Amino acid sequence: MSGLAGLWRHTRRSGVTLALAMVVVGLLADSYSLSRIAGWIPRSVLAVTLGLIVIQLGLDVRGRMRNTQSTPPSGLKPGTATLLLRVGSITEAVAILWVGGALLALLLLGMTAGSALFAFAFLRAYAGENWRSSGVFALALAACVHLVFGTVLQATLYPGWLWQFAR
Amino acid sequence: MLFPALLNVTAAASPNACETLKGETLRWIVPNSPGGGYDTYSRLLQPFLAQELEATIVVENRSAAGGLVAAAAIRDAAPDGKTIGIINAAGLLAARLDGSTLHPATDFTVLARLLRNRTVLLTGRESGIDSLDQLLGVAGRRPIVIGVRDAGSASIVAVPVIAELLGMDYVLVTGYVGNTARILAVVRGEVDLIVQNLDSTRRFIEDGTVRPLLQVTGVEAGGEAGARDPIVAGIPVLGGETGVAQQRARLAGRSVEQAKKRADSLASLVDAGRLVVAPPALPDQLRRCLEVAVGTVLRSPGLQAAADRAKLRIEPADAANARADIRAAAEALVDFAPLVRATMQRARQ
Amino acid sequence: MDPVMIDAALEGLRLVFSWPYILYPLAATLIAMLFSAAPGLNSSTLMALLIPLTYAWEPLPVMLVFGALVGGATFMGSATAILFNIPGKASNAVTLLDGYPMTRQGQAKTAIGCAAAASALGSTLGIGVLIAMLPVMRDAVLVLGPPEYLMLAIWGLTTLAAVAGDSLIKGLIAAGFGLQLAFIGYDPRTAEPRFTFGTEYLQDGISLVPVLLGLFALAEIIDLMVSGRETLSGQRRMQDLSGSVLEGIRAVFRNFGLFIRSSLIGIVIGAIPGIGGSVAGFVAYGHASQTARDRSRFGHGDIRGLLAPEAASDAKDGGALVPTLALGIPGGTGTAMLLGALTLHGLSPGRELLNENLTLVFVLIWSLFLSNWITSLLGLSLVNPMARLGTIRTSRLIPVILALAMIGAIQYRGLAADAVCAAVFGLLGYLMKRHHWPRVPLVIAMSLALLLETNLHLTLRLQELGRINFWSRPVVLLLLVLILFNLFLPLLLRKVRAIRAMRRGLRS
Repeated sequence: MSGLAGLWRHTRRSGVTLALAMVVVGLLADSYSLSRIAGWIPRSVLAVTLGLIVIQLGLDVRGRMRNTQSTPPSGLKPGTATLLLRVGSITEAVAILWVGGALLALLLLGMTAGSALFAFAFLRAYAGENWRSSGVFALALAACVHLVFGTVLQATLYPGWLWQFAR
Repeated sequence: MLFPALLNVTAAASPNACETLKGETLRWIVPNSPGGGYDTYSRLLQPFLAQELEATIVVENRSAAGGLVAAAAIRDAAPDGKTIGIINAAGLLAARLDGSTLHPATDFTVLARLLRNRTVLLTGRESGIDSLDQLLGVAGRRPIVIGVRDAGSASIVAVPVIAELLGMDYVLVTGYVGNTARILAVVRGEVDLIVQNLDSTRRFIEDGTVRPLLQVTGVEAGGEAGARDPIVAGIPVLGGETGVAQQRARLAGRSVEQAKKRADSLASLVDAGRLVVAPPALPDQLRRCLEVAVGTVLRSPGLQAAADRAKLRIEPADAANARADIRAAAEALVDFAPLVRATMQRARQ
Repeated sequence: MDPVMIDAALEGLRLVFSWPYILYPLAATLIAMLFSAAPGLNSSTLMALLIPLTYAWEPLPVMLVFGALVGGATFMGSATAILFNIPGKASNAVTLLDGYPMTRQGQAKTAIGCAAAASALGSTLGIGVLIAMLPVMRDAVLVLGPPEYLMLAIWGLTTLAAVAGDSLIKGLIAAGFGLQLAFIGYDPRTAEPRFTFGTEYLQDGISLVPVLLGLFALAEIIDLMVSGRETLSGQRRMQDLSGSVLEGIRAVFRNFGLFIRSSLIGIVIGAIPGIGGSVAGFVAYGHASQTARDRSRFGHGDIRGLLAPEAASDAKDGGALVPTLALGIPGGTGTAMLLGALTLHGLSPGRELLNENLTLVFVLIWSLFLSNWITSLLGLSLVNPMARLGTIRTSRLIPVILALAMIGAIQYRGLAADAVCAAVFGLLGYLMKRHHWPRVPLVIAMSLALLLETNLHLTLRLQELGRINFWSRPVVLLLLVLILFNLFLPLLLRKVRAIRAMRRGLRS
């Protein structure tokens, strides 16, 4: 039993490998709904990939078991590494959230207003710049986006999801 | 904005301009990648329509799935007149035998028809096959190898019906995506035949790269214009009173009437044409103004001159005509359904 | 070369450089540079915009403008890749692999100098080969068929081992995943939706551009925030930056053999219809790291990893014009757009144009040549302001890079959902980087997947029907040798070195 628990503990740390394995298994299952011509090449690729993932998991586990035998794990303390895709630290979570925030701002407000809002929030809250310089920078960025992409390059800028309600 | 001095577009006030679309940006969705047949037509129309509507028109290329994605994008767009585009009626109808629910007449507001397609069977210059008779001679010894795009395309409808009418054995090779891939295949000699739209292959026929063997048109579909086109002068026609389908049926002792009917149905289906459409449920006023605008542009001498220079054929028809032809094409499809479905099935095994 | 052709070539050259015609390629190049520097837009977008504006023009200016655009000032897209890890378009993606690490080491100037030189010289070589091939190119294009395309794709994939980094298995898994990503969407032979799970977005397939922007640019932003790095180059002042333009240019000549081989790779791949420009760069990159004696620096700022793809993706333009001019069949997106533009002007490429308007053909070629050199020379003059960006505080750069990456993702196909896709791949890219998973095999495999799949299918089918004989095709056999060479060369080299070392040991 303790062996199994140990195995799980070691496997759990291979977050990326495990996530990939799950995706590949899902796709492999889906590939059986395809016709022969459409299915056989993806299916072969997936099968080989899955085989490689299993080998990689084996290597991961073996590496860790060796590590635990020789030196105590230097990673996170037990109990903190419970996330499957170990995000790891608060800094990482914050960085990822900022990227998510930028995405949301652009999708909701459109390219010009979205990038301005994001730039302002980021400079003020993350970089700790003062209100004025954050505001000036944000406006400058929005103006550049609008001028360069919209006016000079004649690109149709994505308008933003929220504006449809404003009309 | 770019090269202002050289800009030759004078935006004269047009009586047909739709007031609500004036100054707006319209999306024109094309079921082709840049440089493809529908794309070239779209770029040809773009400045003329923009001038007529006094609006900006942005061409958007959605080439995936042989145009199904583009068509779905038009169908699902808001009916505010700001999304229009081209669809290939035959392609959409063919896809209905393959699980698609898109219908070229009922799922869209048809604004006009740009032109009917004209379908031809082509072979490579060095294939050693000079005429339909020679092709049929070869077919007597071995199956003819035909290169097509995929198992859901309009040519997969045409191939089994043509083969049946000619009494010709064939095998399909799928996977030639794009006109040019098929042209190369037939020129390299990997396949004996390809089924192509005459307009997208005109320049390859003109410079002798490929050779037309058969026109898939009936009197009803290809009409006099088809017969007069010098590029296919003397090339046998499948349908009609004197068509190859009848001759072959007579030789084989099959029903001549039946063969003629089937050939003409096929022609009405594959030639259903390139339609200019908008999303369904377009308000009446918008529909009328867009219909008028598109119609005016398609008939304008400026566009005709530009089309002639580019060697692109434009034979406009109004919305009512186009819709009636699609209905006929959809009926024809019902007859072919079992044969075509079996062919699609086989192309996937 | 026959005298008719020499006359046409000289006349073309004279026209391109005559007043006021020289203004056309100049102006077109300047605008193309701006387009190429903006992520998500490229010279194909520009060509689309210009088509209606050039309607009333004579053939000569049309050739001058579109000739300049078909090369598309690709170098400017490379500059954003080198400086910010943002590939302007797919063909610039490979540039960032070693270009951006050079910026992080304060060597942006060297990187830009090298990219500019490799790009100008590569395109020149491509154009040279194009001109030399004009009389025979029709036959040359027809020699290549599905079996050759298939072998080229496999050859590209064999270079994966060289870019897999520390772990070959991880590299291969990433490659398998990349292939799979490209299979999403409509199957090109059966028209079935594959792996779309009923979503409309996936029916279009996953585009390489948002994947690249996510995996590299967005992942880098997360990494920059996590690492708390103050500036991209690690330096606050311009004078602390090391490297120089001259050093970059010299690198091309120091690795001249690699430059020539990479350019040839670019030309051949460019000549294959329907393959994106990114493939040429990736294959050249793989080749560079495969043939390098010491490949440990690849991916960490090895200048060879920069010059090989730059040379290939610019030499590709000459190659892409081969089938375009010979048969009127475009080699890539740029030439497809060119073909559309020329058709609308009644100038469709093919035998007719070659026979009756050879001078115009040369005008097109020389204009492309001129445009590539203008881009590189102007780009070089911008080195200092560009390198200065590496000394700006990252907290100010992050909003800009993020906005550019997201806009680029959306702009490329005009789909807002592509921004979400980029964000997902940003997270994946960051996790891959953190857990030491190589990202390059994923993108190489993704860019080669459809070439591989379609032509594997066609080759098997045509062989089965007896329409081709795979084993009797000289180009296939040549490529087979190259593939075996690629697979076993590293092993062989190791053996040879071991034996040499042993002999030396015995002697001493």
